[in-house]
Amino acid sequence: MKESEKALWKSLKWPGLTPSAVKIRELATRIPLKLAVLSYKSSSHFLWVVFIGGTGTGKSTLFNALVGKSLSETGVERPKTNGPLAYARKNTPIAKGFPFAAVDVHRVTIDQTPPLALSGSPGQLLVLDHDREEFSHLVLVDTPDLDSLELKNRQMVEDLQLLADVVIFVASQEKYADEVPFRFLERIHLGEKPYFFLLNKAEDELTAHEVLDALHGQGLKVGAERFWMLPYVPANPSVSLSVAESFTHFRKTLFQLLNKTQALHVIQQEKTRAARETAGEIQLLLKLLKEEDEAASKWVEQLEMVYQAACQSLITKQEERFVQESRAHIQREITKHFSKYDLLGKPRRLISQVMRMPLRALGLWPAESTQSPGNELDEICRKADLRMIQTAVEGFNRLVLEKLSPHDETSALYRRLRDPNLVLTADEIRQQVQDEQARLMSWLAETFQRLAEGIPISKELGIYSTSILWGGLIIVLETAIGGGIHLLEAVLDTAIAPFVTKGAVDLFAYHELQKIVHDLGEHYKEALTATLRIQRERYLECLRTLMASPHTVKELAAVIRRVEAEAK
Amino acid sequence: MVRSARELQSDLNCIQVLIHEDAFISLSGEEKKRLSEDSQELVRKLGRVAESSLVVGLLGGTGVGKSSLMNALACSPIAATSHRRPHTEQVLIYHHAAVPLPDALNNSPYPWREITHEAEAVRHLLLCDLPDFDSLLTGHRERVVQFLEHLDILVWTTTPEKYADERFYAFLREVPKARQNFYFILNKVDLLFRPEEPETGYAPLASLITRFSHHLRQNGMLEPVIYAVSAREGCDSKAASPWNQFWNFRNQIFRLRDAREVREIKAANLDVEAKQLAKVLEKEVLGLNILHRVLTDSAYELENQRSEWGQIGHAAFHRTLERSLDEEFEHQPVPARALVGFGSAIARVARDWKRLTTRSDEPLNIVELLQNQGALETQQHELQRLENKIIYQSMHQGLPPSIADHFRSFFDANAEWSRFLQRLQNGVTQFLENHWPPPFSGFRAVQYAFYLALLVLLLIAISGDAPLRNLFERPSWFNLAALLLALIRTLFSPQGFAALGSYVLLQVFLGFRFYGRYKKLLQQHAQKFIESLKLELGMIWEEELNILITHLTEAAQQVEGRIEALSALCPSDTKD
Repeated sequence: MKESEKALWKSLKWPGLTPSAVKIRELATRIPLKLAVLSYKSSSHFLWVVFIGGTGTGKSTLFNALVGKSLSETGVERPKTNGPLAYARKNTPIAKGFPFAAVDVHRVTIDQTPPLALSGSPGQLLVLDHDREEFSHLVLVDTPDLDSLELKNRQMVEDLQLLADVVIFVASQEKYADEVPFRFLERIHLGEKPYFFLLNKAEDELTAHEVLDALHGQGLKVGAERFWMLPYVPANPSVSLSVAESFTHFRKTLFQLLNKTQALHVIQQEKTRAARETAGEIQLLLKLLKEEDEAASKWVEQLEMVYQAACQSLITKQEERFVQESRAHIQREITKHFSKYDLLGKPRRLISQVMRMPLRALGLWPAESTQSPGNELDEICRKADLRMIQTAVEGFNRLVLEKLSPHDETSALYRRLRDPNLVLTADEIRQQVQDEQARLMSWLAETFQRLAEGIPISKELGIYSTSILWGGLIIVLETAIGGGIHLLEAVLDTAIAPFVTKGAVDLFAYHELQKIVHDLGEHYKEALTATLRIQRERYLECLRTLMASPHTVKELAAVIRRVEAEAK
Repeated sequence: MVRSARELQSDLNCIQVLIHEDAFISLSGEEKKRLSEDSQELVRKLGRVAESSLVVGLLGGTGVGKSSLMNALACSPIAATSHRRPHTEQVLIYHHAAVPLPDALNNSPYPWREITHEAEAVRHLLLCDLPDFDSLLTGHRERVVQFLEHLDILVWTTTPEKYADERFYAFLREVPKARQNFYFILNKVDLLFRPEEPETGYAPLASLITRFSHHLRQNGMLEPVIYAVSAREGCDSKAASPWNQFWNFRNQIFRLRDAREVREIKAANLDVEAKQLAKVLEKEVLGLNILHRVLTDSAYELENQRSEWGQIGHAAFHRTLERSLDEEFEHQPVPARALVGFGSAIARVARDWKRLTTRSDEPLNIVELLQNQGALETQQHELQRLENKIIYQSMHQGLPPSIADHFRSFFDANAEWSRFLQRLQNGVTQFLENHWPPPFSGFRAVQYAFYLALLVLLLIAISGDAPLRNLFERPSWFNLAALLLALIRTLFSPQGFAALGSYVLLQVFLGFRFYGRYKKLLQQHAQKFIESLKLELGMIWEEELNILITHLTEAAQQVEGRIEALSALCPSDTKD
């Protein structure tokens, strides 16, 4: 397997949003192994026969009987075999490109020394070299127990099963229906790998029919041609077995099938099968990744909904009240700026002062309050309150964990969502809110600055022309109704005229006010939700980093094509 | 350590109750369902074990008092001599009506008869009254021996009279059961004790027992367990004589019964299953520990935030109260007689006018006002924040989202909020009653003085110079009458009319001035009132912090209690 491909498998990610995420993890660890085995086998031309079975079923005994030598130590202590033993001809290039990095291949030559039973050691494939021509194309492997207490042994069996071209599955009368071996056999059966089922230690009254029926009852149809029953031999089983009729028959059948000419065919067949299976598994992986992808887009939608809800609860009332409260202030500010276009402002103020005098004398006209505008501006901006935003962000975070976290504790997203660096800290929020306040403030200041600099000439002309128009209208009306202007009317008009110009100015100021208040509302909303937005971005980013990239998907598809091509 | 069936049963019942109350915080629905099913299954199995009885066989010659021994064991008359018809060779099995007989008995070749009773004390004892062996035919004897296989323990009963009978020992030799399950009862020892001289009985009793145990040893019993009893004294331990060992015997039987139960539980692997259940509970305990930690942390954090907390409330009240309350106070009904004369008329008109225009006639509700002004929003947010923080932390540390629902049973921000509002409302109402309306007595005195002075001036103005001077120089009734006459006369002259008009005008002017003054005063008072109201509200808010901390601590304690309860349900493996 190429380095780039290895990196591909190492970098494979998925958020773990669907229940099948567990399956993805399983596939992501199994497929690379299978690919490694495939590439290993495409360069080697010997046939692997692997003995697999539960503890105490007599794998080693059968192994010894098959090769005709006491190689693998047998006994009643369980488990007896600690590591796998392989029986191969000298110079068989087993170690070259061996696909399992965790397994150490160690060679021992046994032919010159008298055979000494070996039990192997964990994590090591012990290769026993021989120079028997009849076994030259075969590698016979005795494995540790499949249902062992040792996790390492079980892993080893899984690995060797991938290497096997032919599996010899050994079960005993006691064990053939046990859960773990049964599931294993079922997997081999469904994977269509060629296998032999040896039922060892069978007592006389047990019939093949009985066993096959029992297996069938559990949903496994083992063909009678693959099934062999070996009798229970109490003493020195390796030797007595090798002369037992059923065993010799089995051996004959096996070696017939695996003779040198047939072997190549079997190897080729297994290679094709494995390639097909692997391609299918990658296909499945792609499908599951696609499901994850779909779940992720749904997740994003939900996040958006949660975000909107959080924003809504923050904005609704706040904005309304905020605009109302700041409106008075802004109006004052605007009027101040517009008043310089009110040509008759001074006389009008004089007139109104005069008119208010009696009321003020009676104590009925309140004195005008004066407040420095700067402070109020500050206060407006401080309305984008820190605590309120903190509350909103915390509520948002809570909802995300409550509604959007996967339930599976092992899923990547579950862990990532609980990463302490993911949520904004109190300091970050404070900083953010201060920034937003400053931005709002500078915007307001800028707006007023613009107003102070003067209004466009068109508006200025508009104010004047409106004033003149209204004044003219009044005079025209008076002339039309009263038939000319009297002295009294002239005096009255003089008093009214300043108010007419005020009306015109107010009219324009109102427009300006509406616009500014509206903009202010928008800016305020923006400032309020900015922090939430940043938090949402973080969540989105978090999901994004967990997704399989389209590039990965493309590469996976390429791997499928390559494997399929090899299968042919 | 294996717990007895009763302990296991009560533990399982606890689990069932907890499931029923949906009190498990960290288990998923599926886990809860499984836990429920498993515990029910276990309860069922346990029921079967608990109903299995210790089978006690009573052997003895005729007239050794087996019936009274059984009655004493049961503390109620379950056996009567009439049950045994003479010469019928039957085993009489006394069992509780609610406890079924073991199936194995049904296959026994030896004839037996069951007699049910309701004595709870021996509910779990199956008492088998075996035929008197001294009347047994040899043929029967073998079958009786066969029957003995159903028995867990054998109680050999004899009396001071019969203990040396050969038949007793012959039969003892024939019985192949494990000898450690044999108990020997020497009944009717009361015969040795004369009531007038009880001390004299001990010596013969001692030698009797030595003799008896010697015989037993001779017949293969290495360590015979002998109880000297008087079943006739009944089951009342207080009434028993000091030499009566009946109670020791009875206790031993019941201990055996419990031991058997434990054995059964072990044999049925129930303890293993119970341990597996406990595994699930351990997860729950882990979850509860998280919750406990989060709760105590939150309480601690709140405690540290005390000053900040106070500031928040104060700032929020400060912001809104200042602005909105002034106006509100103007709507209030004029405090009784704060204004007098024309001023009060103006105030009334002004108030009615305002009412007419604003149509607000409701009494001042400060809490509502505060809510409308958004002054309480920050506080509400604080509560919500607390809830959010706790739930977020819980989920962050691995509790499932359903914690939010469970948490409500400990602490509910909304309920807490409405309680706080209620407290606020009460506090404010109280405060208003005590501090509003302000007393305007000084102001009123000033008004009266002004109006009085005005009246005096009017009177002086219209009474004229001469009559007044006359009155002061020569005060007499005549001069007073003259003054009054002059007064009336001037009143109806143009001069008097003018004076009256000026008087009215001055009245109006004063009225307006006082009204204005009144408003200013009102404002000042309101200002002061608001200041102290702020303090009051701030205090209520600070008080709220204490209440919250107490709540959280209580919740933490509740969780702790549950942790303890659950830990008791799942004994750790180290005890085993």
